[in-house]
Amino acid sequence: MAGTNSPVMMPIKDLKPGMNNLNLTFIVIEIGRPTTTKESQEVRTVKVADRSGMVNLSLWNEPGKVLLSGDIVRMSRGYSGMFKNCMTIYTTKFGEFVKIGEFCMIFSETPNMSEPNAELAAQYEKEEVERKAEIAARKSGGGRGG
Amino acid sequence: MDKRDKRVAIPSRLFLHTLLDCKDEQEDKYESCYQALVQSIQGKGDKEISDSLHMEAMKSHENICTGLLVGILTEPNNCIKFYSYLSFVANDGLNFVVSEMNRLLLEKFNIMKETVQQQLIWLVRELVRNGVPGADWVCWNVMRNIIGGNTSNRNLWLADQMMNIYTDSRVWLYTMPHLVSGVIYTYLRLLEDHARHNLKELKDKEVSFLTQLIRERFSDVLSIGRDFVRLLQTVSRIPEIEQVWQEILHSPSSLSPQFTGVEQLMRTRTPRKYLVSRITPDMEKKLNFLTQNVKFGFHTRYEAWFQRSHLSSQESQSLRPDLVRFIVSVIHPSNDLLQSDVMPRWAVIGWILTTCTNPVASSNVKLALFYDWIFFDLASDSIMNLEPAVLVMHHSMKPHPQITATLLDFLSRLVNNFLPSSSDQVLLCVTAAFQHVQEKGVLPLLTPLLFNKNINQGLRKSLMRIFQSLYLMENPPVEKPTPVQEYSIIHPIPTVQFSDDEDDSENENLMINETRNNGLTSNGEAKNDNINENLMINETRNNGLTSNGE
Repeated sequence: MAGTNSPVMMPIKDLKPGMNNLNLTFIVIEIGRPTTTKESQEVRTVKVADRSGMVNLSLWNEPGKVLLSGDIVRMSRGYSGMFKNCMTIYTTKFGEFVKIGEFCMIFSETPNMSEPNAELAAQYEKEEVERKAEIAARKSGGGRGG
Repeated sequence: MDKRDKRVAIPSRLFLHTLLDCKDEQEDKYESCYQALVQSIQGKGDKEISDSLHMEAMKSHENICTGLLVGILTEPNNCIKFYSYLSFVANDGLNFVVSEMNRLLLEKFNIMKETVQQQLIWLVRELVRNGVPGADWVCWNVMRNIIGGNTSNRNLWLADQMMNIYTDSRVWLYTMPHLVSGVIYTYLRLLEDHARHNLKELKDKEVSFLTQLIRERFSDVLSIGRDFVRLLQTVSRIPEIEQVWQEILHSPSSLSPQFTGVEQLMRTRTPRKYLVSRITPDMEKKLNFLTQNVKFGFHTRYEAWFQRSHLSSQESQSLRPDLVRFIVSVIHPSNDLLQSDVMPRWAVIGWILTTCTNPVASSNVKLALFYDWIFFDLASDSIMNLEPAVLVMHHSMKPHPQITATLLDFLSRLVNNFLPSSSDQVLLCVTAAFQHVQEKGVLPLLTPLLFNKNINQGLRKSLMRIFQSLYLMENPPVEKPTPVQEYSIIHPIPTVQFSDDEDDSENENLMINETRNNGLTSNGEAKNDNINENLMINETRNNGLTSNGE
């Protein structure tokens, strides 16, 4: 469900774009090469998986430099979106992202929740537009919209 | 998006943390106990301190011991004082502190700061000097952190430090026979690494340390059993070690009146704890996970991670035989596990074998794989120590025939060359091992593996000659079908001319064997591709029963 705000312990296969407050535990499968942005920040696409499936994580700066494949990570207050038609999860400043172990976790690389999916991307875009409109309406109207 | 992550590694008194680590509850507890200790004794004179400590101990014995332990580990200038406080305040013979040290050694040693590791070894020395109960197992756990195939400074330092502790407390050491055996096993193994890398001073010190221990405590060598011989042979080019080897071979009673000769050692299965001791707790955890939880077919990533963490350097290749001995002798999966789709041991062995590029290590890996075959004894050896080798050879036949061939070739040479003076015995034992493999249903028939038509002619002929008795057992030279009889190994074996043109009689005999085996397999079929279904190992095995109650 898009826009949910209660903390959810989520198996990766149940992820959908537009979720917030995600609590996940996963093992790192593969760490992509960093891309440097205009503001000299580094971002990496990291494939992470749990027992239920695999998803792409977008990881910025220092943690991406230290992380190794095989690391087991616990993450909280993450959120999901779409990036180039692929579902992607992100960390937040106030969320936790910690290594809790290595190697000893069962995972499945299928289903890959980050397979390019134009339909899903389109649906997400539509919902994002609606969500932003709702927020704008609430701000200006002062009452609860929709 | 998370920009400009200002994260830094959390400060820690004891451990080196990366910025991805979080402090666990245990570490928080350590810190609070330490702070409480510091507060309670700060600025006080001796009498007041002693009163304070007593009061703290009454509040919580565990907390005061924890605080003092942290103090010892983190304040080199005050550790002597803290140790004396500990002796004063502990009412459990230091049992709590000893168990905390064991926990740290088994779970946290490799992330400890260098100074903390040094202090921990200082404390180990104090425990030994004071004869504290449990100090022997603390020493054992320290040795588990001396990594095989690793000549980093820290590793060498650790080996040297422990050797000094043992040398300085030899009398104490000699009251702990199991520890003496563990020390001999550990240092004999480390000698291989130190000799190969020209660490002359350390090597000479170890040689002298070891030879003295071996000679003075040969009864503790006998407890180790066959893997002592394996390790000794690896370093027998060192003159002093060669001398010990010659004494073992030619004048055993000079080493110990109870010692009858090398066969006595070879017939003693090495207790698991020694084989476990040469694997770090981390490696042990991973190998157990791999063979208990990971589905076969989903194992590739785990192998890559293990390789990267533990087998990536040239020198670490000497670890491979230790891994094989551990897998063969220590990991004995339950029947449920064997019949499941979890990664089988033979596949782990196959990976260790095929990713080994160093020819010396490769040869030692094969030896480690077959080591329990050489003097196999039905009374004391287990089918579980034979199963991995057989299944690696069997399962490699189609996809990687060169692996099967190289292992069969190695085994055939081993029979003749391992101990030329006992090659008859070795042949009997290896033959008995194969028979046991067949009886237990690991392979319903040996012929498709041992005398496979697809292996090179020279090797096949050699195998048929060496394992004549096995060949005849499954392919008796008669025209009409008769019940196959097990040939006793002392039954006189008729000489037979083997021709390559034996298809018909072989097929008849195969049919007979399948019929005979139907009564013994769990599902009535002899499928070569799913050997695990035919595996008969169960808990009643040790009572001399097979799973169909015979």
